[in-house]
This record gives sequence, C-alpha cells and structure tokens, in this order.
Amino acid sequence: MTLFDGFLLALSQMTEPYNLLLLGAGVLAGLLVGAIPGFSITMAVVIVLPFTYGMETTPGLAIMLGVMVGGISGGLVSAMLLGIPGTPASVATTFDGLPMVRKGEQGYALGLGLWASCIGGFVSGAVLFVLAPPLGQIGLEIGPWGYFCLILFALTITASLSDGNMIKGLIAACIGLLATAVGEDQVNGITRLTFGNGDLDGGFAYLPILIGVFAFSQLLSDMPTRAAARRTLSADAATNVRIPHLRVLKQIVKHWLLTLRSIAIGVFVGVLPAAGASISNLISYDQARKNSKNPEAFGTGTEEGIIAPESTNNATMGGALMVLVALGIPGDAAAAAVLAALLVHDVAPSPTFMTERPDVVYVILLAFVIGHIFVLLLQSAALKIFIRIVGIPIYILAGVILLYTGMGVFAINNTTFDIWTMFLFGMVGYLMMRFNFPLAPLILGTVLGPIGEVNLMRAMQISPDLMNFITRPWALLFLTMAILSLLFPFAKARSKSGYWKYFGAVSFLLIAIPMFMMQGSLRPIVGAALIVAAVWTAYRKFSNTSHTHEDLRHG
Amino acid sequence: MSNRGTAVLLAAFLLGLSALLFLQTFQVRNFPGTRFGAEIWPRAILISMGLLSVILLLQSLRKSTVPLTQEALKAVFEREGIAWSVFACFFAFLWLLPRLGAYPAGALFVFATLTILGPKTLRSSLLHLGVAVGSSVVLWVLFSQVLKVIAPSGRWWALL
Repeated sequence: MTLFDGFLLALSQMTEPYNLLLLGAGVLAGLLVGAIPGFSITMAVVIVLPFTYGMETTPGLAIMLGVMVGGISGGLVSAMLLGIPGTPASVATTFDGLPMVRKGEQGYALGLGLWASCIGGFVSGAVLFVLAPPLGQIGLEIGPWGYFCLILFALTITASLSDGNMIKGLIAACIGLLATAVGEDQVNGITRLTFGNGDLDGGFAYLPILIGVFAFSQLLSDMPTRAAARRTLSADAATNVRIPHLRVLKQIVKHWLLTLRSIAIGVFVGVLPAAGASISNLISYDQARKNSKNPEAFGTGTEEGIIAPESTNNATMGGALMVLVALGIPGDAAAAAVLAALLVHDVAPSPTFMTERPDVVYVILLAFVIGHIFVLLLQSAALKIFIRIVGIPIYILAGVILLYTGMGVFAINNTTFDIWTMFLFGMVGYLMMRFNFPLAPLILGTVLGPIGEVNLMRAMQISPDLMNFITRPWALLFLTMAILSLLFPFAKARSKSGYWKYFGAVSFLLIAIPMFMMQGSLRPIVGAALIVAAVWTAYRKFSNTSHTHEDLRHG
Repeated sequence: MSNRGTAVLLAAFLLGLSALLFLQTFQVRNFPGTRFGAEIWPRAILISMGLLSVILLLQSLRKSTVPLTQEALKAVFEREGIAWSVFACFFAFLWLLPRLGAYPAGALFVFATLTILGPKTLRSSLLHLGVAVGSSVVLWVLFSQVLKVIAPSGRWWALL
C-alpha cells in the first residue's frame, strides 16, 4: 500500500459518521476531564481506554485521539478560570489567562485560548503530514548527552522567566529535581534520601506534587483575608460569557508571527522524545515575552501571553504524536497512555510503521486534525457552563476543589500516600509562594528530574568523558542555550552599556558553532545564516553607538 | 521580624537542608561494582542548591532592613491564620480518611473548612452543610459508581 492509498483509506474511514461521532465523544470527554482540576490527560486516556477494548482499530483510535486532543484543550479552562493547571502543559496559560479573567474578560480570554489551541493543533497536524519523516530524524540524533543538556536548558530558561528572582528560580528547580530523587533511583533501583522510611521507597509521584503545589498555593493566595475569601473569583462571571470570536480572530491574525513561532516551538519540542508540552509552553511564553513590544505587560493579562502557550501546547502534542507513531517513543505521560491504547488495538509503532501501515498512521493524524475542529465546536458550549463556576464564593470553591483534587489524586494509584504527597507539597508550594519563589521551575524540575537522571547516567555509562557534552553538537547546542539563558537577565539589564550590547550577536555566533558540527547540508546553512545575523546585529549596535557619539559631539 | 531577617533565615534554612540531605546521601548502599551510584544525582542537585543558597544568603545580608508595621503584621497574621487553618483541616481529613472513610471524612473536611472561612450565621451554616453533603454525594457517584474507584471505607464503621 502506498502512502497516498493509505491516506485515502484513512480519509474514507475517518469521515464515516460513526467514527466522527466517537471522535466527538472522545473530545467532549477529554474537554470535561481536562477542565477539572486534579485530573490529567493521562487519567482521561486511562479512564476511557477500557471502553475501547471491544472496538475496531479505527473507532478505538478515534475516541482515544479525541480524548487526548480534548484533554489538552480542556486544561486551559481550569488554568484560566481557577489558576490551577490540570497538567504542566497549561502552567504558562495561568500567567496571563487568570489576570485577564480577573479583569472580567472571561469570554475573550477563553476565546483566545480556544482559538490559539485549535489553530496550533490544526497547523501542527497539517505541517506534520509534510515534515514527519525529516523531523523524526532529529530526535534520533540527540542522544543522552543532548537530552540531559536539553533538560538543563529547560530549567535555566524557566528560572530566567522569574525576573529579578533567577537565584530563587534555580533553587525552586533544584527542589523539584530533589523531590523526584527521593526513593529508588532510576537506574539501579537503590533507595536514597528516605531516612529509613519504607513509605518513601517508591518516591513521590509528580502528579500529586503538581496538584498540591498549584491547588493549595493558588487557592490560598486567593484568600488573603476573610473578606476576600467570601467574594467570587470574578465579579461579572455570570453575565459576560460570550466569546467574541471576531475580536479573538483579529487578535490572532494581528499576532500571526507569534502564533507561527509558537507552533514551530511546539512542533520542535514535541518531536524531541521526553520533552513535552510541559517545556514548550514555558519556552514559548518566554520567547513571546522576550520578543514582545510590551514585555512589561506580561503577567497582567496580555493577549500574547495566552496565544503563545496555548498554540504551543497543542502543537507539541502533534509533534509528540509523530514521534510516537514513527519511533514508538512516547513524548510524555499522555503519549505513553496513547501508546498503550495503540498496543491494545494491535498497533505497534516502530520506524517501519509508516511504510507498513500508512492507513493507521493517517487515521491517527486525521483524527488529531479533525479533533481540533470538534474542540472548537464543543468547547464554546461547554465553557458557558464552566464559567458559572467562578460566580461561586472563593471559600466554597476552595473547600470543594481541595476535596475533589484530593480524591482525584487518590484515584491515580489508589493510595492515600499520594494525598499525603499532595498535602506536603501543598505546604511547600504555599511557603515558596509566600517567600516569592517561582513555582514553574519547581514543577518542571519535578517532571524532568527522572528523565534527566536517566539520561545523565546513560551518558556516563556509555562514556564517562565529560568532553562529550562539548564535542556532541546537540549537547553543545543546548548547553550553549542554557548558559545564554542564564546570562540573559544580566545582558538585558546592561544592554546599553559596554560589551553587553553585543550579547545578541555573540549568542547567534555561539549557537552557529554546533550547527556546523552537525551532519547534512541544511544545518551548516542555518549556521551560516546565524553568523550573518550575528554580524548584522553587531554592526547595527556598533553604528547606533557611533551615531549617538556623533550626536553628542555635535551638541 | 524584618524582611531581611526572614530572608536570611530562609537562606540559612535552605543551606542547612542541603547539608543535611547531602550527609544523608552517604547512607546510600550501592550494589558492589556499581560504576555510578544512586547518590551521584542527588549530590549534584544538592551541591547546586547549596551554592545557590549561599548566593541567596549573601543577597539577603546585603538587603536593607524594613521593619513590619503593626497593620502589616496584623494582615500577615490573618493571612497565615487562614492558610494554616485550611492545612489543619486537610490534615484532619487525611487522618480521618482511613478511620471514617473517604466520603464522610470528605464531608467533614468541606464543612469544617467552609465554617472556618465563611460567615458565621445559621443560614450560612446550613448552606455549608448542604455543600459538604452534596459534594461528598457527587464524589461518591463519580468515583465509586462511575469510575469504580475503591475509596477507603473507614475502619471505625466495622466496629459498629
């Protein structure tokens, strides 16, 4: 079967009313579960999976993909309305989504997130149809040295997000890494940091940590006084529920470059195995802020701060899905659950999957793309119900949400230890928030800790020579970017003085070096383009300085 | 206490925690012949955290002292009172969970939290009771009936 035949067969299957109905049902289930704090896409996939056991491959995949797409899009609702992201993929959405909702613009905020999500997913799906094979090759090249440096970069860039608080951001990342270092190690299964307590042998799961940190810190920060606890989250929640679609679309068109860049970041990060939407939404937010004309508006409810992470996290899922079907490597926990769903239906992804079963590959890609249309159709209606929730006094919401999230955490592994974990990290998160420590690096450290350890140990076992982190191009690239992201706040503060004004040019130059070390002809061309960009940036800075001196001389 | 005092104490606490956990890594018992032991990863993190804590401590020492006013102190007490009473309620819920069962303990948690935070009138108390019982019933339907989650049933009921 050729790729085109496979595509046609998949198209005919996916346009059958029964399969479309199941896809829609999956999207709705995903939207509802994703919107509830304490639940995750992984859990939604796991809940729905047993219902698909008796189904044929295409209907089974349609419903599972629907849940996956709906789950990540539903996450924006709780992130914006309650400030509690259900998954790490929605962390950055809270930064501007919640302030905009607090201003009373619920419909606008949700509309921006909704449309950005759908456009992100739709475009990434379309791009992946074309770019899947070459993109898949990149993930194979990175190796454990590169993965470790990528994780390092993700942590440093998140810490650099916390302006003026980089040290606290880095400490928060260390606390996150440390939280998942407790218990059995990833390689040999040896216990550590347990103080002899057998309950800690299994370590802390990241989902209870995430939920504890965000649920307690967010809800408690909403109630600084009893008077504040008794008010509603948003004064006109019940009246302003309409999504101004035209206004939203105009904004997205106005920020088309930001949307495309965010989608590109999402696809790129999604293609990298083990680097999911938890990283990409923060990178995208950071990039959006750094490239914005009004970076100071970020965090106060700006449109760019919503469009960037929301278009990215859906695009990341497209990338992760492609690596999953092409190589059988899950990008994150949600992709791992989808991999389990594929195996249930006798579909075993591998490097030859694309040529052997193109019909199934295209069913997956089509379900992913069509699923986003369903998100658009179904979420608009579902939002109206959800928005009413914010009309309830905060203290009532807090009590019920804490109970609900506690039980949601229990349901993951059916153990009360996870609720204790949630409680413990709830207190840690609250104290960190009180002392102005950013929470995002803590969460990222928690999610990436085990992956970082495995890759570092794998790299050291292959070769203990530390020079591998410099001689391997992908490792060097991410290491360079990690160092640059640490220096960025200093460069930004001193951008008009001394040699710091050439920071951008030097950055381009340094990133170009690993490009020349990579195989093929395209990447050296990118490296050459970066050198040209470096020279041009340096020239502009130099000529601006000369003009300023001339102006001063002539009075 | 001044904001500088708090910052210094916090940095010192983080430094002490790093040192304590670093010492704990010497208790790790690896398999014989292991090339890279289980203690390497936490040690790398703890060394980084210790160094960052030292920087934080130095930054805190350079901070100017701003003593808290009486009003600010009052606001801090109210905020901390709310936060720690919610934590206390949640702790009680966790303690009662295996004894009373998930749903009765859950209802008690919601009722206690709402009573502490909400208005203290008869009407409000009735509302809180309704919300507490209602949310537990919804939880029971969703988790036990729909999702088939086996929630803790409570060992005290077995004594009856």
